[in-house]
Amino acid sequence: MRELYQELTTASRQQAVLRAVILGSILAFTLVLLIAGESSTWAMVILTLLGVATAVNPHTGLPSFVLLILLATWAVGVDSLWTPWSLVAAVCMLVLHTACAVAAVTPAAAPVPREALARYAVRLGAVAAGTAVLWLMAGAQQLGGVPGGVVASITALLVLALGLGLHYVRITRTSEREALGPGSPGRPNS
Amino acid sequence: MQPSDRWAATHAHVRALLVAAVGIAASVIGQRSDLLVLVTPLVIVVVWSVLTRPATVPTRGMTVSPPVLREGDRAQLVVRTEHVPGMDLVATSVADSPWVRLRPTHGSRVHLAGAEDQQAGTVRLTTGADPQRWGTRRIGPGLVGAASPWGAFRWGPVPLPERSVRALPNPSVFDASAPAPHPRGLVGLHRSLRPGEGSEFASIRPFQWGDRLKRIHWARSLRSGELHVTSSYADQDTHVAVIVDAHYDLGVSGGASGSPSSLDHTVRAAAAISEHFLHQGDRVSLQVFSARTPVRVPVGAGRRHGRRILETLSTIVPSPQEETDHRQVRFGLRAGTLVVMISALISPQALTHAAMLARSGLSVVVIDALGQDITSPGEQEPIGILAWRIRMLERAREVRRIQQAGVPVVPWLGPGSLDVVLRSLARRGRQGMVG
Repeated sequence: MRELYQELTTASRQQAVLRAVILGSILAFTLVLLIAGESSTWAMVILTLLGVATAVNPHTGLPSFVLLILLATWAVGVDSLWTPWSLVAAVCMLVLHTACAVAAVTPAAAPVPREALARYAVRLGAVAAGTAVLWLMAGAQQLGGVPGGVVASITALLVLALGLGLHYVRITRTSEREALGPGSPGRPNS
Repeated sequence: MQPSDRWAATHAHVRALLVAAVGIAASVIGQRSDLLVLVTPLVIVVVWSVLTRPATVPTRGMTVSPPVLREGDRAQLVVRTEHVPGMDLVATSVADSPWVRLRPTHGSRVHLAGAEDQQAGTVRLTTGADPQRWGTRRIGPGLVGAASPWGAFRWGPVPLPERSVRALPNPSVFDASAPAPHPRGLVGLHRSLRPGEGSEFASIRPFQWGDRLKRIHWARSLRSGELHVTSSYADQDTHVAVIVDAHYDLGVSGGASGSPSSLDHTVRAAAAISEHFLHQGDRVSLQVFSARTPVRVPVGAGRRHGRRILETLSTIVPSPQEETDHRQVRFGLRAGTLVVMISALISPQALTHAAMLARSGLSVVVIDALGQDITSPGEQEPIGILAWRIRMLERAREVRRIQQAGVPVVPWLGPGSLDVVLRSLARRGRQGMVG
């Protein structure tokens, strides 16, 4: 707790901005949820409190929990299958995730270079553009009434399982092997 | 191998993967295309992160530059990391060390790896680490780490072993215009007292057996009908023996820019006096009284010797010494040597040595390095303050007694501190009173 307090009190201006972005993205998502669907006052209060907690602890598992909560409140609170606000909500989730990631991998006291923030802004733009394409495709699918069906669903789930399996083999196991391997890949110079 | 010395998935990557998988599954099972839209950015981020995951662990190292400098000067701690594909943000952190001022004060840096780093093959992060007090100062340990795009994979933080830098004492401002007493040479500014082999003309005298033929003064020899030779002063220089009493360090040192402790006064005064006399071309030796660093630098001259003396001074560690053999103190000090003893005069041993050296015929000057604003050491309890006052009274009496024995004691006041004393010593004989 003392370390957390010290980290917050010595945080650089850029880190403070990142934390503010985390809170802001959650509040923006809450606002979008309120506009696009139904939500209770309690949900708003809880999401705001979670936003504050996430801004304080971006390097823990809390942001994962908050993102799942956001996803669940959207699923429960919004009935419409295609709404323009879903794109805004998706961008809010992306911004929340990215701000947490950058805040977590940099020392709190160190200023984050402006170029880094600019590079991430470009990346966010690129991902948001890709999301907009899929959002448009989803809209076209809704308008065209393309049926899904059981086969398509099963295929989608299989693709998801395949992707997760591939990730496990390529990333998780490789990382485990590196951790347990006898040969040290790290070569200190001096 | 450090557990952190590999590229490992971060909370951020696991988060993106988990939320994306849950979102896709929910959208498929619940036939909700809006949920798929919501998690699409995270799916893209996961794919991007996996495709750009760095494959190799970078080499790294930490150096400090320059390794030897003056206290208060600027040094740099450079952390070098190999640039590997997929490296995005590189961060370093340097731990706080005593008597080292970090720039920035928190000691952390973040760098965005760019095209320049890729071309150079190395990422360099520099943190200022300025030693604030003379001595061997440790800088670090440090930490270095890096992250891939989207903060998905992280290498480190890997600890880097500490580095040390030697901070030479910054000589106090000092300038003596008075000559050294009993000079013995010509190499410096001081004239030799005795004739011998040299280049400085002394006189023309009748030829003696052993004189070199090249010294025959033919004009005088022809006029007088007897062989005459030119004589010269010996080409030897003055020996200044600097003796440093490092038994105790009283007061709190504020570093190069703060208030000095007694040992700061002592070391800086010794550095100033050594540099002054070496600059004049005299020969200087150094002797340190300390149980932990009882070092002795033999007599020598020149800039390299000055450097050696400064480096030796920077290694001093204060420690009380039970007993010092007077013969060891006297060793190597010939007649005509000027002994400059710098001491806080808290231990009576230093004064005893000074008195014995003076009695053996050497010119001795004692510099009082206690300083004006040094208070009683330890806790400020009434009994401690009283004990300190009693010791100060004893000290004043000891100083008076040694002054009565003919050893001048002068407080260190910077420029001109020694002028009056050195002039008095030069004027008088080897015995007498100087106060």
